Amino acid sequence: MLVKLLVGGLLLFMLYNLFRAMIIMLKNDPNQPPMSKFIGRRVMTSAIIVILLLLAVATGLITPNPRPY
Amino acid sequence: MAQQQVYEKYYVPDQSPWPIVGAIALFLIAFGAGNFVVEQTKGESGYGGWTLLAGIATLLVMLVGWFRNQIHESMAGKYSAQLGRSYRQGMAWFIFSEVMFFAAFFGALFYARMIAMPWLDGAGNNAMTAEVLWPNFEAVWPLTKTPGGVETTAMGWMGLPLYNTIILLISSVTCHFAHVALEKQQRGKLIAFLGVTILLGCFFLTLQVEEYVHAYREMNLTLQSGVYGNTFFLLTGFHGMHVTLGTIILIVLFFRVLKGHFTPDNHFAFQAGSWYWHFVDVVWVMLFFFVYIL
Repeated sequence: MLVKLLVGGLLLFMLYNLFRAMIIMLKNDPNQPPMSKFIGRRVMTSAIIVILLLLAVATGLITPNPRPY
Repeated sequence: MAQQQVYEKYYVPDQSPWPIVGAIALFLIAFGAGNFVVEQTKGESGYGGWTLLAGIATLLVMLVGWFRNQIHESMAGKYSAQLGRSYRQGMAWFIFSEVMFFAAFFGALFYARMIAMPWLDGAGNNAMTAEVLWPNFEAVWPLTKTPGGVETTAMGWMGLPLYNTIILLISSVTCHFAHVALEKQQRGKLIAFLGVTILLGCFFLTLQVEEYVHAYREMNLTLQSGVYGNTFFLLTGFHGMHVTLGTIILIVLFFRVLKGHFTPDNHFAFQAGSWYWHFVDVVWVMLFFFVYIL
């Protein structure tokens, strides 16, 4: 369960960075950092999520396709 | 003495044929697709397929023509900051609609799996519901046997879905590198990384077609396979359509880059296209977690 919460938290962090980049893109304010900074963070988070999932399944922490609840 | 106020110029384009061409294309697609489905269902031959193809061809002509006009106007310096803001507003609404679209499908998966199925199995105060409707129903996900007796096989997460996850993840890395290269004015790297991203997108789509063929022919996993088949194909299928659109956008950007368009200070079209690609990748990571693994 802990690993699922961790993945859930990372998914939220990934979404946060994606939409932070979107706000920068839409505001077009030269005083703000470039959107690619947050896109980079979101790409890194995606990679961490996938690696974490693979490790969790390999070690049995997550059972793929279990019961619905 | 009254100071004269300076106004920014606002470019108003000539009347354009593309909106009506687009409307005709959409009509032909809807009309052709409707007839095509009916003809296929009844096993009859007809004009539905050809009408559908004509609609798609008309839509492609419209896209090429409209994009060309718009790009020429932009490169001719006819656009103002105010028009740039209107483009950003348009992109904001587009993103909002996309988020709502996928939220609806993820919501349907959540509802079916976490609420409706446990109820049918008697969870909460629904023991009598389970007893009256389907006494032998067992809430197991993926639901590989429906109460109606349809049997299917669950799509595993290894193999093609895992390969596609890695491919799309690498493509988002190359897309990000291309963006950084544009900001640093490194055109060679920009072209190389953007080209690799497009190739990876095409590779992803090829493997997804292979996955669907495998599902239909060998796993009996189809759109008629109950709620599991429905949610599986709706989520992954619509995502595939978005990858297709994203790849087309990246191809347009690629040719614009080859022609020397975009500068580090002015590249909203590239920003929007690249952001869309990252959005599509984020949706896939969530799909991989919620549809294939959990």
